[in-house]
Amino acid sequence: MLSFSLVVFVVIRVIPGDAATLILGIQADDSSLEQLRTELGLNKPFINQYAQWLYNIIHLDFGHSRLHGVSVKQLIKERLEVSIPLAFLSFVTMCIIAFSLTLLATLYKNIASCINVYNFSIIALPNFILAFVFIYYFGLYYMILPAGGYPDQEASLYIKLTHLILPSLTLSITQAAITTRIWQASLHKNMQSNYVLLARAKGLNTRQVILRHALRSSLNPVLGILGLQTAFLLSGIIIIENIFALPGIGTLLVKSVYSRDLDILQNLIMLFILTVLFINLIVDLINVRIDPRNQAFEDR
Amino acid sequence: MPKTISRIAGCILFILITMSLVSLFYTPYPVHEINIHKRLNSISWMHWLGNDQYGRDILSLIMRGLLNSISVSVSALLLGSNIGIILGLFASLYAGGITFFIRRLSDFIFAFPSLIIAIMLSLWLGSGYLNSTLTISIFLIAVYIRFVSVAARNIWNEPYIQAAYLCGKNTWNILYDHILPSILPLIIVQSITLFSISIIIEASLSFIGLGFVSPQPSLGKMLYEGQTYFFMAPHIIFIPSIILGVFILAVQICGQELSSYFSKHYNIRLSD
Repeated sequence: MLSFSLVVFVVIRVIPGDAATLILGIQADDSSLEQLRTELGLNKPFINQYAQWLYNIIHLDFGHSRLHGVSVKQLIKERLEVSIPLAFLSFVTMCIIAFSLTLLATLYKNIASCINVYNFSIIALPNFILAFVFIYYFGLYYMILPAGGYPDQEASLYIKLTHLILPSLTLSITQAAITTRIWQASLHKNMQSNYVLLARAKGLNTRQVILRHALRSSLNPVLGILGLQTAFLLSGIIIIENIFALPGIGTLLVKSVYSRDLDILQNLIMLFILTVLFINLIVDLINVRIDPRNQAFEDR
Repeated sequence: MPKTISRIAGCILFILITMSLVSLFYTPYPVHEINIHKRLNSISWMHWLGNDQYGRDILSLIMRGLLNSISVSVSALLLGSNIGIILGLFASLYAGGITFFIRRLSDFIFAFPSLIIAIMLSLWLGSGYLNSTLTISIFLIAVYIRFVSVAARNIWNEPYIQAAYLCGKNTWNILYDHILPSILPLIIVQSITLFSISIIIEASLSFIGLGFVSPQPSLGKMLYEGQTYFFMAPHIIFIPSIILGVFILAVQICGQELSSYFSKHYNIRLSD
């Protein structure tokens, strides 16, 4: 974690050159530049700046956004109120879609090839293409759902939810296709193993065999891919929030790249990376719970 | 995958790549020609795929944009695969500190979502050809390290490697003569899949405005710039999306076909 923070710090603070020039522009005079440098603590040696940043993070002080005029903490907190429901909603939808598609494909052999073709084509498409199709049909043509934007804080939960449906659906469909593919392969492999044969010999029908025996052991590679997918999900959130004009952390990130708001960038990127690491940790822990054989490989 | 589908995919791929190459010396209209009277015009005989928000010919833009996307992906693939394969082979070689370091390096890169890498690099390099190429290749290096080291590790355990040792070959010779040829089919198949993925990443980068700089067209950038006009003229979004989607799909189908060809080939060889 320390090494991650070091890399982020070095790349953002040290490499782009003088932050004061970036903020004030090239035409700024020397005295104001000097004043800003002292204000930002840029005159101190590099190690001191880095230590100061870490110290501040531990004390939950994320600095101050020069552009928005509020503290980064408050800004990120506001934005997370949009992004966390979006991520959560798309994760849940993803699980539902993947689960039902997998079961359908395993139970009914003649649907399986249809589902395969569907998965294949969905994986191939970048998710923003899907987003445009959704906006066009649901938002503009049939006018069922809002095509983008996000209501105020005072708006009711229902209205907020309708604004999140299309983005989360777009995010989840791509993710679900990948998950389904892996889940289906793993389930297929499990269905040919000896214990399934035994269960069949006991007199269980296919549905019972899958639900009682094969499903649990097939979860293992799926969880493995879920950890990897959080990274894709976060990339997806950045793009999708920009298309649907949602005021989440993705739009904040892109905006602060353009305005060179280094304080926001530094902390947001750290937040993204910590999320990925944290979810990967959780996935590993769950994996051990589900399949005790993994305990042996823990100290790999 | 039925034969006809993969043949169709191959034809489409061939046509699209030829189209993009032809754009080097011929496009129906000059790529940057602005014709404000024909702004947002739909499909017509004069302009086969319509005009965009500045009245530029979409067909010409797509031809050049496809070339740009392909050239970024190919150069990223060349850079990423060379470094990644060498590092991956090293990682399979020793069980000591270097391996640990290389493995950690690839884990380290995987923890950054690729768009985040792009954003960090764009602060440094500004957006453009170099930025997208470097971003994609950093991501690809991690992927190559991971799968090359695992595949090569499996082959080191084969008996014929020990036989080669007994013949008096040293480690480097074995690496070059035995390990590399036997993982080559895997590398080729993976590279095609990764090519389609890097096209997707390039499109996403241009889409959030971190890809090509303004006069240069790219498919993702056409979508990014056309977004505002989506309500008035849906075709300036849909046509580039369709081309992009069809291209990626065709690449993936060809990769699938190639992998089934190799696996067939290998089964025959193994049964001999």
